[in-house]
Amino acid sequence: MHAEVAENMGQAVGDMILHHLTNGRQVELPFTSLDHLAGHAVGLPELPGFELGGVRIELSLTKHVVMMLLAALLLLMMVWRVRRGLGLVPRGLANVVEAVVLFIRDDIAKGTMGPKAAEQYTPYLCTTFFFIVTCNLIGLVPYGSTATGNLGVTATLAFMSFLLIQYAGIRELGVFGYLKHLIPPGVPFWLAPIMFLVELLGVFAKPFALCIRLFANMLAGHVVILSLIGLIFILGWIIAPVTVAFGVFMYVLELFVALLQAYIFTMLTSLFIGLLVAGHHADEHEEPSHGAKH
Amino acid sequence: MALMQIDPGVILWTLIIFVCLLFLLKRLAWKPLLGAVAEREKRIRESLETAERVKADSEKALAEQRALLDVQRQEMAEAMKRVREESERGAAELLEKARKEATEIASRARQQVDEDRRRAMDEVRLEAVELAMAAATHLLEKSLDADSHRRVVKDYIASLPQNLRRH
Repeated sequence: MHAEVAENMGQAVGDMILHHLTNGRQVELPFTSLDHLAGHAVGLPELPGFELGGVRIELSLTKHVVMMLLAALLLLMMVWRVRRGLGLVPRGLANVVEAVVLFIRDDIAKGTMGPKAAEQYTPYLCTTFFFIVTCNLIGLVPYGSTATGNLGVTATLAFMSFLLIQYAGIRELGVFGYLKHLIPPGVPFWLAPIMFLVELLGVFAKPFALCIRLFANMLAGHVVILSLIGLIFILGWIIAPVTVAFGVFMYVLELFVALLQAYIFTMLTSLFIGLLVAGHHADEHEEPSHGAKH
Repeated sequence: MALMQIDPGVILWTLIIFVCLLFLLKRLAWKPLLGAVAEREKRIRESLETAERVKADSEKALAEQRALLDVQRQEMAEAMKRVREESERGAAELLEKARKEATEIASRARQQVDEDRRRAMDEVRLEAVELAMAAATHLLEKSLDADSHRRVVKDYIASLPQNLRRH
């Protein structure tokens, strides 16, 4: 009898976790319903979808889309605050944002692709970092949801990085030079076709790894926290102090991971651009490991 | 599993949101921010260069002033030396002149004294002659008149050896 209850409860907790993490047609908001059991779900407006190449694209708002819009709104509010503090002596939030932007430009971009290309790609890297970090942090706020824990979102972000990386490579090396870099120099001619395939695979593996890394990291922390909370319902209130302590620990860790994963995504995008851009410069100036050193 | 499904709608929304955000943030945030940073870097570099230049200028001016001061000090020392030498020379001359004058005065005084003494001696001598003559006249009143007495004495004096005559 008892075991059956626990099993049912386990099933319910699993459903709760999945429900919490998957995208949906409603968002949870506090004080929207007096009925406790009905939850705090609020339905989202329908928008007309369309068909594109046999794929049905629904434009109706979903939970993660709302969170991304919220992140964009927060970032624009941040920009509004930053712009007031700009000047020769930056004030307030401008100071903080400036420090992050300069870190991205000087330590990430310049370090991986050299000073010239860094100026060009810094805006993209900054936007990526701030967007991802904001989405990550929104997921840690109660009633918030992690848009970066959605495979579609991370895949799109990685796809845009993929496009930018190829664009930077072709721009720097030319179409022929870009194709040539797929066969590493010094490879015996009979190995060249195999190396070409391996390198081509690498071109797609890099953004794929970006996509999966961000998705899995954001998902994993939430699964752990929700499971710890779920344990209270399965094992009884006696376990609560332990799971709450672990939960708080995981939450703090998640704060760190939110920043870390945004940094890693930005850093790796910059690095992949740098591999194409800075490597080329190294050949030109006969200066090996020009980009990777700084 | 629902978690692993990719929703095309989400992809499109992500694209729209991210591209708009990229455009807006680039225009409104990153460009002005990096512009402000570049402006600040420029200002700092310029300030440093100006400070460096002002420092060099002031050092040059200081060196010039110091050189000028040295020259003036040297000139002053030379002038002082010249003045001292001149004054010493003048003092020596004055001293010499004073000494010469003193010597002159002393010698003139000595001559005067010699003169006076000689004159006194002559007078004493004449007085003695007068006295001796008076005495002799007194003794020899009768036998000789005054003129023959004077002749006798004069002859006697003349007969005295030359070196005794003036004493």
